[in-house]
Order: sequence, then structure tokens, then C-alpha cells
Amino acid sequence: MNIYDIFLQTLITLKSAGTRTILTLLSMAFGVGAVIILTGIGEGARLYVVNEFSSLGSNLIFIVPGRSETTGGQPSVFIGDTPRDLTIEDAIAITRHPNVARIAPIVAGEAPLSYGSRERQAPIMGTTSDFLELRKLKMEQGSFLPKIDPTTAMSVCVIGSSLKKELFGNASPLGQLVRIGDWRYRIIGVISPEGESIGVDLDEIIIAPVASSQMFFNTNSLFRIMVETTNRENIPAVKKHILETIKKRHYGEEDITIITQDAVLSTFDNIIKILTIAVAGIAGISLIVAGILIMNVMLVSLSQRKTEIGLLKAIGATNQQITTLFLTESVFLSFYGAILGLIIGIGGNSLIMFYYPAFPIKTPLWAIFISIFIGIFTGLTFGILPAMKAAKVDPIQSLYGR
Amino acid sequence: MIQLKNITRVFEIGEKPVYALKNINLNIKSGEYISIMGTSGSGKSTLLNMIGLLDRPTEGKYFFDNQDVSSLDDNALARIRLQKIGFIFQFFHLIPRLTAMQNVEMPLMLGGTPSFSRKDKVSAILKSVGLEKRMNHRPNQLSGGERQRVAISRAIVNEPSALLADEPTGNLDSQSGKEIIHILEDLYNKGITLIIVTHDPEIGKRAIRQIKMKDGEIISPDHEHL
Repeated sequence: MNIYDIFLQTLITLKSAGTRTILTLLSMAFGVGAVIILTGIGEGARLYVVNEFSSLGSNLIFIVPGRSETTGGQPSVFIGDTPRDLTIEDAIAITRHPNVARIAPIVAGEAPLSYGSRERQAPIMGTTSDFLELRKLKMEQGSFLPKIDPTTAMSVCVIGSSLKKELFGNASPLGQLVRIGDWRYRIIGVISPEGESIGVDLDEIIIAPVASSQMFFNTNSLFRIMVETTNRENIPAVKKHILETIKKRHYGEEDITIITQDAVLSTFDNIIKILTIAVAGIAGISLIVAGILIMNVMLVSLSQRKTEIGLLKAIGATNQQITTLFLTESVFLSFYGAILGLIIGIGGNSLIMFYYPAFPIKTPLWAIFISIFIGIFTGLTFGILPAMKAAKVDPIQSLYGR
Repeated sequence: MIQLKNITRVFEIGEKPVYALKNINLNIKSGEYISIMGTSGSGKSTLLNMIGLLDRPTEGKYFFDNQDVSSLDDNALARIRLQKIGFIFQFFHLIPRLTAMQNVEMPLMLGGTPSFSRKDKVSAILKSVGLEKRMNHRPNQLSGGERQRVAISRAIVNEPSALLADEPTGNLDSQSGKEIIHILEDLYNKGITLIIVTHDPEIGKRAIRQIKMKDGEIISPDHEHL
């Protein structure tokens, strides 16, 4: 029997089974479709995070005080003891390297902000003028913090766009004095709307010079230092430079943690990948269900076609030929089911993309290959039992109805 | 061509062994016309299945074309059935979803004959049994007589040396039955070995050599042939 004939017979048989064939195809198709849509969403989530991070700039280094090592004590302490604070002087010392493009020391906290009778609680961030370029922000009105010695305090601030709307409405805030805690600050600029970026809503924030903020929060220490290198390749060199500088300044203690964006990114990347695989795995269970359904359909078909199998044997079909015919049928069912599922999956993803254009959904290529592979594999696996049973049909018993 | 030597076939039904065939000795020469008669349960169908290599003897030796087939494996037997034996059944056993043409093509298909060289042969055979206008009909669109003619076409499409018919007219009206017998006898006249199992004496008597069976034994062998 040649392949053409095997396929032709399979198609005739599946066509004559009509509804049953269509329902089996659908069961397989929904399983495969679910896997593709879920991996698409997972991959989309991953891309979303990756994009968020690269919008921060790809050659950033974060310096956090304290060493990331286990130190005992409270389980909630992720980062080790902080014997020495990071200071503005540390930050200035770090700039003395040819590959450091710009640096932004950061102090963060929260304070009540009031203008006239309106008052609200707002996050306040102390930093330097380089922050604007480092975070690739744009100004809506006025100018950003002035380029002054970071150790100099100055009573000026820049506010986020939604904060501006809440306090000033459509009036210009430039030059107005606002009260932050017990201090008065003059507003010199408004940041363009940015939306949320890794947990910090820059539209709601007050940005003030770092020294003023330290004064305000009555502290000498920095929350962190952001360092931008001249390019990506220099990150290791700059990292080494930072460690050496801080070690010298901190009497031989390497009491900082350096986080590069790559490290953060790859952590998120891994987490989301694992989640995607887990969710796709759960959807994959439906493929097993579909496989069992195919097996069931083939077994029913077998019991209905016993006479026919007996006849085929009587006119000279070998056991292998019978097995081949049955296996081909189940593989056709699962393969074409998988193809149909691929169409459903890609269609579903396009539909999600149509309604949520901001979410970058993407069907990973491997999901397509895997679903086709699973299609064939399921058909083979769950088709073996019915096919072997078919080959074992006794022609005499089936032909004489005994 | 066919030699059965001390063939016994025992079925185990429950605890008790049932002897379907007891010590059968039978020689059939090429080109013979034989009828096997007997009541229901006399073992005539079992004998036919034995001759047709569908069943294996419990004891005894079977030579087909001087080859000992008792020891061959399933595939080798299937090969012989495909090439040298044609079967015709009381209930036709056509595949319902295939047309007359496709049903007749089946043995050629199993033998690996490519599609383009099958069509002419199949149409010629269907034409010879008077079905040239019914070739693309499915079995449920054909009468009993027509179905049996399709089944005969299927049995002879590989040009077998022996044609085995189990009650070929048992499910037909007498007119169609007569036509079928005529077709079979035509084939015999062209040189095929024809073996018909029947309980109808009218049909049985037409054969040149008549074998009567009872309780798994041949009771009236014509000894000149042994």
C-alpha cells in the first residue's frame, strides 16, 4: 500500500465519520489553541517587562547601601547590615572615572505638599540635574534642577504632571512657592507625563536637589546611586571602579550592593518564563484529554469496523497494513486538530492584540513547533492501542459475527 | 494444488473441546469445480476458511501449491491470500463508504499497485460483470445481486488461482442467485479453481465434484479423486 492510498483511505474514512471527526478535531484544536494563547500572553508579559527596563536606559548601574549576603537576624532583612551609609561624597568620588557618563544620587521619602488650601501627600525624591538625562525624561514646562554642586541645598523643585494638575489646574505653577513639610520650595519645572515605570509614578512625584532633600529628611545617607556608563561594554570596568572607590572610602569594607540592569532583567525574565511554562503546562493537560478522546474515538471506530478489518485481512491485508491505517487516522486527527489549534491560537492572540494594543502579545516560534510536534506525538501515542487492537481482530470471528 | 493431510481443527468453547474438523484429507487439483455441502455446523465453512488460509489447523499439514503453509507466519499467509485466493461471502462484506470501483481496487491497493494502473483493470472487470453503469455507486445504492457482483470483481481483480465462495447466493433472490452462479461458472470455464460452500442442493449439484460434510467429517468423498 503506498502513502497516497493510505492518506486517501484515511481521508475517506474521516470524512464518512463526519461529526465525530469534527468534534475530535475541535478537542485537539482547543487544547493546542489554549497552549498557544497562554504562551503568547506569557511571552507578551516578558516583552513588556523587558521594554520597561530598556526604557530606563540599558547601561545603568544601581548602587544600594549594604551588602547582599545573608547575615542572620530578622528574616525580613534581605540586604545585610549597613554599617556605613552611602553619602553624596561617595557619589562624587565615583564620578572620577572616564567611563562614568553621569550619576544621580537619590534620596527618597514622602512628605505633605501644600499650595494654598490644597494639600496632599506626595513622594519626594532628591537627586541632581543629571537625573533628567539619565532617566530620559522630558520637561513639559520650565527647567529641571540646576547644575549645582550636589552638596549645595537649594529651595527649588520640579513636580510631576498630574501633581501639577491637582494643585494648579490649568494655571502655570512656574515660580510659585509650595510648602513641603516645614519648608518652602519654588517650582521651576513640570515633567512631561511618563506613566508608571517600575513602581515609581513619576507623574506624582516631587523632585528636589539631593542636599535639600537630605536636609529635609534629616539624614546624611543616600537611598541609592544611579550610575550611567558611557556604553554597555564598560559596565564591568565601572563596577570594579565603584567597588574599589567605595572600599577605599569605607575603610576597606565593601559594604554596598551593585545591581546592574542585566541582573534585574534576567531575574524577571526567568520568573516570567517559568510562569509561562507552568501555565502552558496546565493548558497542556487538555492535550492529554484530547489524546484520550482520540483514543476513545478510534476504539469506537474499531468496534464498528471489525467486519471491515476482517474483510481486509481476508483479501490479503497484513497486520502492519491494518496498524498503519489506524495509526494514520489518529495521527491525522491530532495533526489537523493541532493545525486548527494553531489557527485558533494565532487568531486569539491577534484578537487580544486588537483589543489591548499596549500589551505586546507574541506567539513564540517554539510554541508553534511544539504544538505541531505534540499533534503528531499525541496521535501516535494514543493511536497505538487502537491500532494494535485492530491488527489483532480475528477475521473469521468478525466476518461470521461470532 | 491444494492438499489437506489429516487436518483437525478444535475450538475450545468453555471447558469442552469442539471438533470443527476431524481428520480431513482432501486433494484439489487446479481448475476444479467443487461444492461443499452440509447442514449448519457441519464444518463446511471452517473447511473453506482452512482452505482459504484464514484459519490454521490444530493438527495436520496443509500444502498450497506444494508449499507447506501450516508453518508460515501471518504476513506470508496474507500475501498468498492477496495473490492466489479470492473470497466471496454471503453478506458481500463491501466497505460501505467506498464506491464499487474503490471496493474492487482495494486488493490492488493492498498489493501496492499505483492508482493510475488500477483504473483500467477495475473498470474492465466491473464491465465484465455488467456493472459499467454502477461503478461510482456506493454499496447502499446497489441491489443485493449487484453487491455480490462487486464482491466477485474484488475477489478476482488480482487474478487468483482459487475462488472460494461461502453461500454466495444465500442472501439473494433466486434470479440474482442464478446470475451470480453463472458468473462464477464462467470464471471456472476460464480456468479458475472454484469452491462453493452451500446448503442449497440445487447449486451443490451443479459442481463437478461434490463433497458432503457432517460433524466435521467428509461423509461422501468421491474416492477417485483422493
